[in-house]
Amino acid sequence: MSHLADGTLRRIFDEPNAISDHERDHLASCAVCAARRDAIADDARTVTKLLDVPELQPDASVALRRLRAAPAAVRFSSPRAFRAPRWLFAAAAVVLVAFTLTTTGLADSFIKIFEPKQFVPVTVTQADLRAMPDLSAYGTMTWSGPGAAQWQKGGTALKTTDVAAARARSGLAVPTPASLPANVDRSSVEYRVLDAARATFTFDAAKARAAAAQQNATLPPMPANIDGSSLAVDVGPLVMQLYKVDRASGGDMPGLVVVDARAPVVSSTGPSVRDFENYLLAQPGISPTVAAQIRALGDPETMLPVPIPIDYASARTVTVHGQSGLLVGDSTAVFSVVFWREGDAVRAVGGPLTDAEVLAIANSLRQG
Amino acid sequence: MNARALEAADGPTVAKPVASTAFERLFAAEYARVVRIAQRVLADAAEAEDVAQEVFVSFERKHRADEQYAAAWLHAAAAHRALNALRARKRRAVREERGARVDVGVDPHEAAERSERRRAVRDALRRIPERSAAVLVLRYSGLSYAEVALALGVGVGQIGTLLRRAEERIRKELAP
Repeated sequence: MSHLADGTLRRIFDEPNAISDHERDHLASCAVCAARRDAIADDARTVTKLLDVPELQPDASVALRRLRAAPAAVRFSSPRAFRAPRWLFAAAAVVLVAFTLTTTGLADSFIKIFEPKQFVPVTVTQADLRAMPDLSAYGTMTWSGPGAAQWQKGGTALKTTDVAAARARSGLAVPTPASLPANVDRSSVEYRVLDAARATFTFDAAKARAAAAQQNATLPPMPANIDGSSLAVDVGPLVMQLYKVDRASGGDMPGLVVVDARAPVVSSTGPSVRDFENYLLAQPGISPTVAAQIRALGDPETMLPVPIPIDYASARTVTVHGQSGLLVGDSTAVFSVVFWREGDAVRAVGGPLTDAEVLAIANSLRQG
Repeated sequence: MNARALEAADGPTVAKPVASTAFERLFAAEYARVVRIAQRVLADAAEAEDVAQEVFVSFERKHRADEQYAAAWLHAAAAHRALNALRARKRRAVREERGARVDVGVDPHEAAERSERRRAVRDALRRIPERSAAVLVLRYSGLSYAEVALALGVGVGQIGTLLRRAEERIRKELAP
């Protein structure tokens, strides 16, 4: 019989009866394994001391009362809004919205105000997110363009398993991964195409005041150059490739998503990014910490703040196909996503995979 | 059952009906252990209880208390949320060892040494791979090999190996 594995010797320290008779016999007659067992046991005793913490005797009945006493909005809304996939989608939306083209697509009355060159993670806490004002109450959003209904209501122009059809409909390159982790089912791929659309948000001071009054709150006055002005975001076309990911749990997480989209354009009828920043950061509910982080970024026209919940993820800059991108996630395979700009496209790869896996998939994307 | 993945499976789905009695039984049975897992990571009683509250709220919102995987889910969630909180604590540069009050009455020199050691261990737990950190805190919180295996979604035969590697990693991190 060959020598016992380290794992077996380690288990003997904790659960001596868990090994087989053969293993026990070997250990009794093998000086090498006995010495290894003793060394492993010494290590385990050392780590026991290292990981020692004060013992607690928590009172479950008191804790249950505390849990039941917490307001429903806190118990359910906040953690829910803070779940990794949900906030990551929100962060993705921020990134997508803020990417811009340098030229075409702008109506005469609009001027381009954003051209971020750099992603900068801004950490936010659960309390920060909970307190964020509902900016939809500050004006009116309208959609136009061929994909308006798709973007507004979550529909698609085309669902297909044929990449050529997705390319033809969208006019995009739609690169596909050359390699995928073993637990991603390549044969399950489905392409969903969204047509281009424009979202226009028109600020309305009276509407914002009325919404605040309903909450018994008072807002700082909306600057005259913002009241009545519009922000327009041109989005799409966009193609999502969806792959099923085989996970032991069979849970209901979304699978792997590869996004290829025309880089959105953000434009304004007048106010600059700095005007919007100054106004929005002055709203009640924006924490001083978050505001300070954003103000500290420097030039708001080139540096894009991406909200990263402090308790749930970390973000770092990476290189994808020679371009600078932002990778959010970690080694836990809960959810990781990487965004980058490539030519006039913005691309993303995200899913219940590790950060290294999504980055590898992103770098394996090939056209044609 | 990969409880880690289940813990993450909280999309925009509708919460399932909750059998409150079953939940309360689960809470009574597992709360102390969930707190201890978080405490093993954080070395801070108040923060550990906060993590435990979050874990149970998250569970109740999404799962039935009589599911077979309930305990494993809670254990995995406690470890991972506590490790996330530990990283967040670092990022926010919050002072370590707020739980120092438990050392009241202890020789100041000894308390300082203990505090320093705990700080170093917390730093090491942040640096080693999350899977290694999780297997350490689950096992050293008193879970059996079978329970650790269920929480991490791996075979029980792998736990000895994972644990051994994790111990080597943390010892290496803490080597002078």
